[in-house]
Amino acid sequence: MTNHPCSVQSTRVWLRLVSSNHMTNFFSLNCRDWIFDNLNNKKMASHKIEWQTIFMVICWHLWMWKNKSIFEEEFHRPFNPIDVILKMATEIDNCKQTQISGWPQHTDTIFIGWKTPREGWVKLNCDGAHKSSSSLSGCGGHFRDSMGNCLNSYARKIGSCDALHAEMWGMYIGMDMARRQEITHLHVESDSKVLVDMVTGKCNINGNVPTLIRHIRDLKT
Amino acid sequence: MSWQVQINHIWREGNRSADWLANFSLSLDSFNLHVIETPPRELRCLLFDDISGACMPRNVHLIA
Repeated sequence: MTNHPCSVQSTRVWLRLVSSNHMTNFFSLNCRDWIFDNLNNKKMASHKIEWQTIFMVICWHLWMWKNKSIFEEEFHRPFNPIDVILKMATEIDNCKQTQISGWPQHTDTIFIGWKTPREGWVKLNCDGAHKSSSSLSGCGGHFRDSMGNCLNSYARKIGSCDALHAEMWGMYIGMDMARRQEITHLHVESDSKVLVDMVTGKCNINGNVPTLIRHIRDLKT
Repeated sequence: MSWQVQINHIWREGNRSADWLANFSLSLDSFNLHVIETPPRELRCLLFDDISGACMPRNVHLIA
């Protein structure tokens, strides 16, 4: 049982979660076999959750807690490591289940890139950024012609607002600049589906239409 | 002045250069509009990717 240089804390976690009839095997395999055995074995768990999931979650937490206890002075290992691990493993398993039953199993990889605008048109790509840690937002964008030449770019720090408003500002400022630059054919692209739907009227807005959306709609016509 | 405007949604992968500018704005000192005539190096790389037709993969679910 001493093949693995396990800390006391880690051993305690394994002892609680590995089912008793796999215990001997679990602590005696060499590293490579140990990993493959655990990733392939579905019957080792003493719980309803798939063992692969629990195994991965345990490894990740033990590694993280070990690092934190070395590098972060204030860090204390959780009082209830088993609960923390099982909670996350259950969450992952639930997600996997819904994904299987809720979606048809057809997935595909598509390739996405930027495309030049038609001749005579200028393309505006705009975006917003929101940092929840500092509750700071900003936006930016730029204009390119049908040859792909960048005409100019803009960026503006906004202050505190949500991510959607940051996107709105990005589009509003860009369209306002385009108007001042006397661009006659403008193709606006934003990666915010909600914003595009709000501006083009494809979605219903409950209550008052946000002021910025009204301004963008006004600019559009 | 009359003009024609078309507004479309684009996937995030096709809007990387605008995303760069939005993030760049957070590092600005003032709240004034910052207009850039000559793009900085990092942005130039992204613009170059765009015009050379570089594509990013994205996994999508197909709903039958």
